[in-house]
Amino acid sequence: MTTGPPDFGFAPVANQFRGAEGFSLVLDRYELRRGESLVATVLVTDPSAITGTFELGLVCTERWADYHHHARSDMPDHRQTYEEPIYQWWLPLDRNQPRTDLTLPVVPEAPFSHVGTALSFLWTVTARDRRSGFDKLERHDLTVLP
Amino acid sequence: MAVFDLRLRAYQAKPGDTLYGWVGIVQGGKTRGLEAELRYVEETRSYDEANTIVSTGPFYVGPLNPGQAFEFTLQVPGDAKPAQNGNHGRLYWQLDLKSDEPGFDSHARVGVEVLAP
Repeated sequence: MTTGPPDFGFAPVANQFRGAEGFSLVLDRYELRRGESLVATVLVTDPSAITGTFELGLVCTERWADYHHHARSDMPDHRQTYEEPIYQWWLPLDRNQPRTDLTLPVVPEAPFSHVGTALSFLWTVTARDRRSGFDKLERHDLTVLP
Repeated sequence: MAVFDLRLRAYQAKPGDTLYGWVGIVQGGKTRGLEAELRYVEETRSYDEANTIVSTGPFYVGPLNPGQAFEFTLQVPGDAKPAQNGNHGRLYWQLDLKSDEPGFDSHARVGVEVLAP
């Protein structure tokens, strides 16, 4: 049993990360139009828990479905979903700053959000402690209107 | 299969606008239902799907004869998004006129540009 957004067949896409430790992320808005900005606030509560590359990113991911035909194997033909960042902007963070406010502009020519079945454009803001194993991160979905 | 001459008064529209269409019969046949759909298409290399569809519903049933013509209207949704290209697919609006016929349906399609609000 899962909860959350409707399943559009993207379930095989893995998200390999763990929850944030020592920091948190808050946005001043979760919906905006292209050409507008939002302010992301990163609060550090325990700098010693942050041991990797500490950064904040504004990312738009394109998800698309393709049909796979296996001519030379017994595997059944199937629909597969892929994803790839189409736009991303990462900014370094200082773990010794208890509070950092960053203004993130969404440029007018950026893609807008769309959740579909064959094609989607999904925006997120992420604060992460990037490590060689699992990243530790806090991520918020963002709706970018045309 | 029937062949259609499909035209719109304007091929550009804003969300909420009404599209005025005209269809002339070039090659006749018999239809179980002639209808127009405005579709927001999600196109990838393998798929062509629409999750937002505005339909006129069937506006004519019966024989189609060359020289006949029909008019119809469709409203662009108030929250319609414009077209968008990604690296692996694109979103766009299409007006699809279809005639329900035994075997393969007949279609005529034109693109519609929906402007950003």
